Amino acid sequence: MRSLSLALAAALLLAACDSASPDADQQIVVSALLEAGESIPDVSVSRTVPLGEVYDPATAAVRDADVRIVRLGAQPDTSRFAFDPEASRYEHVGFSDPVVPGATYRLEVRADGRDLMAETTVPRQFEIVETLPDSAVYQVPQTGPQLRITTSSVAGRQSVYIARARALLPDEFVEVQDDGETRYRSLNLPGRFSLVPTYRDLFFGCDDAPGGSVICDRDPSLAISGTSGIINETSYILLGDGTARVNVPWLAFGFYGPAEVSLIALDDAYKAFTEGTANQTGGGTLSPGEIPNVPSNVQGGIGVFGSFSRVTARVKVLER
Amino acid sequence: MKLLVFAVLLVALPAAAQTATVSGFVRDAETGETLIQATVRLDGTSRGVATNTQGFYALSGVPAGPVVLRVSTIGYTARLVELTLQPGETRQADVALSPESIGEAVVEGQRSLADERPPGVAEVPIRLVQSLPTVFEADLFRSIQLLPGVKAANDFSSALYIRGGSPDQTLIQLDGTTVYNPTHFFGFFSTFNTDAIKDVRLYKGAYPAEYGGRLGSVLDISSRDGNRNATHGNATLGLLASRVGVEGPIPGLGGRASYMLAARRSTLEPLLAYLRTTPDSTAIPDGFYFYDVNARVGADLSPRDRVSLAVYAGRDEVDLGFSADSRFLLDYGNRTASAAYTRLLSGTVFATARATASRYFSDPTGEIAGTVFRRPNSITDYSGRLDAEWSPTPAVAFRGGAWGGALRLDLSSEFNGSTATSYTNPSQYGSAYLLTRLKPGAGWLLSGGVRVEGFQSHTDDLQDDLAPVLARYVRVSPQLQVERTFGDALVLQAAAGRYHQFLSLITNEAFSGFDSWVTTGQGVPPQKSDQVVLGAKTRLGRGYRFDAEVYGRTMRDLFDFNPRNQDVSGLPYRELFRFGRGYAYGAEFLLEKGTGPLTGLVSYTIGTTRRRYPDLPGFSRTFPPKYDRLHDLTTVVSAAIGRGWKLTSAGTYATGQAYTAPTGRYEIDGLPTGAATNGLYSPGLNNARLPPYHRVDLGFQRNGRIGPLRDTELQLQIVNVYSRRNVWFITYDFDQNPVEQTRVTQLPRLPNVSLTVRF
Repeated sequence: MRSLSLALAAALLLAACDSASPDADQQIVVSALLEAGESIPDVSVSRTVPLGEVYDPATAAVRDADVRIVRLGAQPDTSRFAFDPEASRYEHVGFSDPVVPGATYRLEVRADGRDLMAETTVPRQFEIVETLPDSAVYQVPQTGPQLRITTSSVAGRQSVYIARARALLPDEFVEVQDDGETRYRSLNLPGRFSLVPTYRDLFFGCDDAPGGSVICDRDPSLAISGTSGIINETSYILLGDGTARVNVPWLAFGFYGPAEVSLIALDDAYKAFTEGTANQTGGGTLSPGEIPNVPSNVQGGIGVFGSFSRVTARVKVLER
Repeated sequence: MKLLVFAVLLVALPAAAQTATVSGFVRDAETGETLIQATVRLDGTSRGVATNTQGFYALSGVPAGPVVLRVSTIGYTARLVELTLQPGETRQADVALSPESIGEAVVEGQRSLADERPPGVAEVPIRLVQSLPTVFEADLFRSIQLLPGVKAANDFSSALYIRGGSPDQTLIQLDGTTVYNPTHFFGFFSTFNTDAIKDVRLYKGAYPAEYGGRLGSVLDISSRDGNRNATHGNATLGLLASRVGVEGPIPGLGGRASYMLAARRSTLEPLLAYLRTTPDSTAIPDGFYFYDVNARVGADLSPRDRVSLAVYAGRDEVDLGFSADSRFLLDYGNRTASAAYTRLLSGTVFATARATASRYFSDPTGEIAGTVFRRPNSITDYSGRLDAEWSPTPAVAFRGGAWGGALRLDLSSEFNGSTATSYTNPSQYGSAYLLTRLKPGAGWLLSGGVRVEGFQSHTDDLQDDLAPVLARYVRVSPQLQVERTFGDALVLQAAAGRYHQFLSLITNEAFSGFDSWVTTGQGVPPQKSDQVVLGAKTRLGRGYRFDAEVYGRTMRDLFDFNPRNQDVSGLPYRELFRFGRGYAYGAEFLLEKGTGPLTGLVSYTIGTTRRRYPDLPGFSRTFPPKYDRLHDLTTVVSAAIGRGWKLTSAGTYATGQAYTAPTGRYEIDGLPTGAATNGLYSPGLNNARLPPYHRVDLGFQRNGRIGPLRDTELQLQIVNVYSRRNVWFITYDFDQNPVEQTRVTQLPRLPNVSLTVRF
């Protein structure tokens, strides 16, 4: 507790010195991800925090940066931003045109006396031509519910995607003390849906509890949303007519009930960022403890200025 | 070139006078096993030769008339052989040596400096391997890790990191057959059953031209022929595995043929069954076993002709069920076969023809929440080779040969009913070499060789959607060695060479069960290394020797799996890899006491290894790989302590391995995937060092009678006597704020017991 207080005090001190020059090792971190067809997003500008200190987004944020995004082309279109202290982010000022698929955007940031710059070319939009069924019985068929999409495109390489599944009506959980340990008990709310068996037994270590609820070692709310790693387009079943069939694996669903499935096509910067963050979590062919920095397209800093296009479908997962 | 031929002839001509030639095989008098590196010398002179890997020697230029040969090798009583030779005569003289008493502790005996090993070569006495304290099983590779210049990655891996090279840079051969994944228990220990091994020779660097295909080093393992004189057996009961072996003469062939069979199988099932009944049994496999079998038969067709057939099979299988719809299965192993025919063509020419087959397979299959994934891969290698030696004069010897084969890689991956990767890579390879060994004057030895290697493979994208592209590479690898002996006290050696490697291994330091090999291909050229070794070997009085070697090597065109690739489906072959370069240099020192009741060694290595991958962000600046350590100090002591007991201890101290120490953290939000992503920032890859590693292991061994059992060996061992919790790596938990760092430690104190009964 004492060390926590000291760390908090150090963080507060850091916040008070917002305009001070950063340490030599301290990096400026920027992040913004443009979605094709949507408005220009907020931009985050922060500093790295020493590893042993408490991370507070408000404290880490750089408050006096100059931020703008320019859509490059014959008629450049510049978006300007202002710092929002509530969100600790830079919000777009004024009207924003939707992000144009295929267009290239440049992020320019001046912070702590440094100039940062990054560019992204937005992936083409793609569509769902056959959506998911309204409902599907869990693990029938074994390969999961199917949808069919037109494929996206990025110059110079095949399209790559990440998939995300999000439970829309999961049960809720509360912290309880069980033999001196913090566990998580389901509320068994009406109209809400329970964990699927693998998540319940294997990932979250849940036991049956009185009243039809379960009590778990880890917080099952972490299973509400799950994201895959990078999936190359050729991993899908290409049908030769410009469309691809996608089997959504049952592994993606943590809860029964309605779920939203998104397929997200990535630009180069977001792809590299996703690959780099995966490298930091270990596994693969790297030696344990060998942690490369996440590659960044941000010149003068770190982070990601990327873009994506997305399609979304819904399915209701039924118990067998 | 003309100059070279002239020089060779100049050296050879004086010996073409009226002399005789003596050649033959040197064997163990009790078992009939051929002896490798036994010395055959004209008594009272420095002229002599050593037997080759077939136990054969050829001594030419012997003066006609009565001569005495002195035949000796470590662990055996030397023998004098009197011969009377006619001018021009070629005499076959096979010699049998009697072993010294078994109970004597032998680390390594004395060998004349004139017969010293080439620089960078280490012999690994099997008796020492069997007596060293180990985790569960006597292990060849873990014993080799005690030698100077050889590093272990961690307590859980038996892989060999030699002079800055990764494990795939060492060619591992069993009876001339390449073994592609020499591990059991997912890398915990090696596949080689020490009961079945006769000889182990490690070429740490600048290895001779008769070997090839790897950048760094060669581990050449020969299995035992089997006892030609009597049938014997042994059975060993251990904590992890049990072994049985039997050997003897093949009946009806008059002691000219023998067989050997050694088998080992894990015996963990009762322990696993018990552990599965305990409350927290999720991680206990429903099934786990491994086995290996070594078998060999050999026969003399005539005094000049021998044939042998050696086979090896090993397999690991694990079945781990997590829940009703989640399960992991892994099945991997090796098969090798080698058929050899050796013939003494004349008194000075000896040839070996060999056909080999090797197959490695791995088939990991998983199911989580009903989603099935599978990643089978295999490598199948058939080869034939011919080697010949010619020793026309005492001052000149030639060795040459050719090796060719066909290699096939199969790699596929399936996820949730879809095939992500389906890849077949047929390759062909061929090589030829010529080695010359000259003794131009007293004390000098020059050895030069060249190897020409070709490799071609058909590579395409990993879906086999595109037409395969033929990629063909031919490389020339020269080697040179110079040696000068100064009396009986000092020999100075220097060697240099260029080496190429056409394969690379996709592996993980912590787990070898998924290992996959890949080849050169379109846009993926062979790896290249230049090596230099300088060495000095000395005698420091009776029983003591001191060796010092300095080495340096470059590594270029390294290709290994690009760690950024999460999905390789549809990628052009070249994009599978990252391409790098590196270097390593260092010095090794070895002090040995090889005779007397107390034997042992002290080895010290100071070395540096660096790598970089210029085109891959995060890896583009020079960095030390994790296994890089500046200092490595090892001691091995073996002593008879009375009443039939022998004590063996091994101690290791090493400076900490490299790891990445992040200086900062950050958070990226606004992602379409929802939750914020955490990141670590560090000023450089592997920019810090873990705490120093040290450990002491103790073993007690007693040979003798236990009750009705007349010939037994009891081993009681403790690994990591003072339970030093050496750090393997550090993890970072972002669920805690500030980030919580956890040190993952290596093996604690572990006991080991085994009992061997011989009959």
